[in-house]
Amino acid sequence: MTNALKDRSLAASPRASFTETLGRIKNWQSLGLLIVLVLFYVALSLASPLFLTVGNQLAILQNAAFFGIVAFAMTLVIVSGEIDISVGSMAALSSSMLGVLVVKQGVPFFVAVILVMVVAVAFGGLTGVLRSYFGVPTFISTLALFLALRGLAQLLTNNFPMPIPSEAFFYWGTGKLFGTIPVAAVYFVIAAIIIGVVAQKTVFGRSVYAVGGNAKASTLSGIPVRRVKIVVMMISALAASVAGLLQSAQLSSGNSTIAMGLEFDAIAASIIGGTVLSGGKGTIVGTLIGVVFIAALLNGMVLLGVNPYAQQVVRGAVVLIAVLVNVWRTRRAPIS
Amino acid sequence: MNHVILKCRGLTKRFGTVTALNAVDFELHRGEVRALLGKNGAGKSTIVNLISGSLTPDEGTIELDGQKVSWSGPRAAQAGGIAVVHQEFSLVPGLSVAENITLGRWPKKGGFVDQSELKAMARKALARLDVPIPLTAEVGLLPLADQQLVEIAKALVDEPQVLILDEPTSALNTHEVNALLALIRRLAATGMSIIYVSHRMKEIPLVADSLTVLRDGQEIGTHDVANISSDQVAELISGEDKSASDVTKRDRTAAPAVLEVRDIKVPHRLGGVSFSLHEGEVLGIAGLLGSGRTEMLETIFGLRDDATGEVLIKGQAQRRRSPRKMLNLGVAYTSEDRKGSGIVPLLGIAENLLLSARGRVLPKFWLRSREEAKIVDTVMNSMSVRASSPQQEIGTLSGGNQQKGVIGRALAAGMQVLLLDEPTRGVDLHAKAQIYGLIRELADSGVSSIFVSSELEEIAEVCDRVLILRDGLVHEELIGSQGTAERILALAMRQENNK
Repeated sequence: MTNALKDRSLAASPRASFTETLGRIKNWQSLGLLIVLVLFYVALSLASPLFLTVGNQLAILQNAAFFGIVAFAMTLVIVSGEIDISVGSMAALSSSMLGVLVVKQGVPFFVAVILVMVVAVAFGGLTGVLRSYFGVPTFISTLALFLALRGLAQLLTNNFPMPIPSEAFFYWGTGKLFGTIPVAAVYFVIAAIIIGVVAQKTVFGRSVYAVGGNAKASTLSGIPVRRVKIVVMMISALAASVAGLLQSAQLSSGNSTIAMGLEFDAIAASIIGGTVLSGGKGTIVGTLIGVVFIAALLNGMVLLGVNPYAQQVVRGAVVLIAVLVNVWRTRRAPIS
Repeated sequence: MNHVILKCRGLTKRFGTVTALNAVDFELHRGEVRALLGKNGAGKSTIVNLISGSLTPDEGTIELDGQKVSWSGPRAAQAGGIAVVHQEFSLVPGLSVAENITLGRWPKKGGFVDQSELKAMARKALARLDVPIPLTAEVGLLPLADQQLVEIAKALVDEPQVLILDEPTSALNTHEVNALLALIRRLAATGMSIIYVSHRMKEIPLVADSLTVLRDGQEIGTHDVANISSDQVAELISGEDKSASDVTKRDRTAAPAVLEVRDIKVPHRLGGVSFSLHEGEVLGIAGLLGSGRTEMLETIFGLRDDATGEVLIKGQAQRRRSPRKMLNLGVAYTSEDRKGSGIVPLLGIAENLLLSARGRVLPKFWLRSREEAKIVDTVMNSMSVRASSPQQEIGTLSGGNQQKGVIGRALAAGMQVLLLDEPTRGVDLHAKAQIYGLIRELADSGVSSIFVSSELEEIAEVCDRVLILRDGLVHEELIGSQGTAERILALAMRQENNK
């Protein structure tokens, strides 16, 4: 702070904190989304008596956990102005690597998990470096990895599941804390909190928003734009890897065919949650709602016996509608 | 010459409570070149937009060749005989010259583009300019001056009766400017009427028959160019005779140098510039567009790989400069491109202010909301940023408040040296005055600034010392009250007269 400013600093005007809070709630973008979600829940529970049972809700949570962790990281990626479509293949590679390392190579379990994550982060770093230093759009590099990593996973396992006989591993994937709460749900909540706090409360997190909002301005303001993008891609890869390990635990095997379409659900949840595809805007809370919405939608459609092919159509339509609503809403926003 | 082609009566346009144009009469004769002059915000673009159908007047009438017209939009005005060449190019870089000239009017034959007809149209338009630009060349690969010509040719396709040129020379060098001015005279000789909007006073007598001065939305006067001196014009534009401003300029050259620049060279732009900036000094860099001003600031801030030369901060030579490194040394840069490289539009004003502070005067990892609120409050108060709350998205604020946000970012981070590139571009008069005041006050507290601007009047007003940059070299230095607007203008233009 310069002296001139200190001298001129007026007594801080008492900010009307109550009206401000009220205004914030009114303008809270996720509020409308939350209402839609509640209405959706009401509709589904009316349509199917099974929907609102504890068991079913826990099942929704279990599924939500799997792609939710990836969706949170994806929100950071999209906010930073990038995209990651390699997450499904990254999850499959992680699962396959774990199977090969543990079953074929006899690597200790814990070490294998660490190794898998390190490889994932390295791939994330690769797309980040390609983006930051060589100008390769992440859409292209992760599209390449989308194919290549899946292929690598299939090469490693010959496309056969590799059973991992471990009670403990199975528990860490499908067990229930205190007999009721799925362990996966705990990961989900922890991931939401960690990434949410990173996004809102750390210099890095706010830098992600600045970089996605205007990379040039961020550079001139001294934000390490390249580094931020690389780290974001690493976080995304790590999250995908965790999702892959989680899925492996649920299946008790290393498997190269898991997580097909994971990228779609993760991106869709972000977009439904209000993340702007061109970057600079989006919240973890919004994505959390988006994740629950998609998980409930998938679950509800199964309960109602919707034709599986028709389910795909519905999923696609929902994303399209979400984008249209976002565009419509931003266009209505007052621009002085 | 006596036939009136365009006749505006009592044109008035209001935006909310602001009257941008107030009962302006405007008459243009066939074959006349009329210069339209005025400060930013005087109403030049408003009247241009009214005549060319981008805006509709609240009151008043427009007659074209005796017919009352009321355009439904720019396309209608264009079809009706009024063409505009805007300051910003509207060319598609990847398309050919011919395709660009005929853009939006591509002739079709059996569902396909009729290439030969298209080329004929383009050739005809270019022929009026009498310039040799190949029709098949890719526009993006042409030099800027040629792109400007393509832009004009595009406006000529519909054979307009009135052609409006908005700052057509702003991106051109001296030689190119002269060629363009001659071309405008040729067009006028064929009976076309031209409205010429420009800031460059020197061009007016070379190209215009008459001039109209606007100030605060009013027409101040219309004169034949032959009957008025440039001093009189300057007075009409500013609305005050040039009495000394109330800023006390100081000679700070005895104070220690905080920034020294030695023999900076940028290929084709700067040919070896050296100077030093002293503590608490406001150093103005005056020069025409393309004189290398921006490149110089970019070089200091570490944004150019093609630059050579030395930059010293407090006596220490700084090699391998980068924005991060310079900010860590207390040097900040604000770009002339506020939208593109200044603000992060979707973030709140508070977050925009804090971008450089975080990790410097604030911790590197966690946010400190209380300290941040304090800094934001201080900066917003001292700069009188007007926003509904610190969370309001900066993209929704006025240009002046956005600019305060960008400069405030440097203050929030405790910067000691400010490199300000056109800090008042697109900012209203009130905000301008506030920005000048702020820069002076910072100087009093020991902050040094380099102030780059195309508006020589403001350089004269704000700066302790002025360097005249011409064709990539520092030619003169004016200290304190030597730096009057007239003197600066004369020196900045000197080269042009020699050629």
